[in-house]
Amino acid sequence: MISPVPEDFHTITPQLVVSDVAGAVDWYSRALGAHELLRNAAPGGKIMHCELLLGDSRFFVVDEFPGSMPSPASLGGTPVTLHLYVPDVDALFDRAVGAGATVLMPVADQFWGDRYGILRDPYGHRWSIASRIEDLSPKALHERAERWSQGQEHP
Amino acid sequence: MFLTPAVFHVLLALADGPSHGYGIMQEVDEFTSGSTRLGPGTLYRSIQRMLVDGLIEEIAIAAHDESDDDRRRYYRLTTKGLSTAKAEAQRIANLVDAAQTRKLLTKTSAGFSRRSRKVKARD
Repeated sequence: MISPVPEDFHTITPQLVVSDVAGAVDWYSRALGAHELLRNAAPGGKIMHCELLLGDSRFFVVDEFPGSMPSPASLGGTPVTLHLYVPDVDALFDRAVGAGATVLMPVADQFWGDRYGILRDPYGHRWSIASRIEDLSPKALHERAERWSQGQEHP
Repeated sequence: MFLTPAVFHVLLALADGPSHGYGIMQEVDEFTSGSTRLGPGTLYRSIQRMLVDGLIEEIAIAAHDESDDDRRRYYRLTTKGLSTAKAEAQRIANLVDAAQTRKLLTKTSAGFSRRSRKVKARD
């Protein structure tokens, strides 16, 4: 029997549009430790589908098609942050930065119980990377967020 | 390490020795008495993940008979794969014990599987 939800996928799977799938897959492999399963070319040579494994999750990478599927480079930014939990945030963050990622927020211990940092990859996608260091209840999280807000300047 | 059900099935299938993708599918079919079928997509994604996680490794088989596909790849358990399979089997055995204590099971699953194999052998 075919499972309607394939066993190796979680409910949510991102599809990243990039200006160059071949380069991006190479970068995601070197910088983040992703592993390619397959890629399919469209007529004309563009890659219309590529599936990668990263930790226990999978994501898709596709070449941009002007008009319908613009990449962050064409849009001048992205409204999406991809969040990774990994065993050693410092190691992966340094590896990604060493491979050419831009640091948007350096790794530090955060009030919500994560050691966490944010970077932008060379293809314009934004990643937050974290390792959990404290297991907090929703109530404790709320109190810490309140205290944090009170310490901030109002914009 | 979290194991998907398919990954544990592949570990079990390779516990008897190296095999290729189709052989793994047949082995799983046999030891589950046909109740679990690993489709090719699930199988090859599991194999990819297990190679990456170091649970299995690809081996070169020099000789192959004519019916064999030249591109057929053989896999075997690594030391880590074997210890992971043992740990998961023990974890499941402990859960089965807990289920029996709570009268959720009347027979052990091992007894059940031996019986169904005997029936198969007589056919």
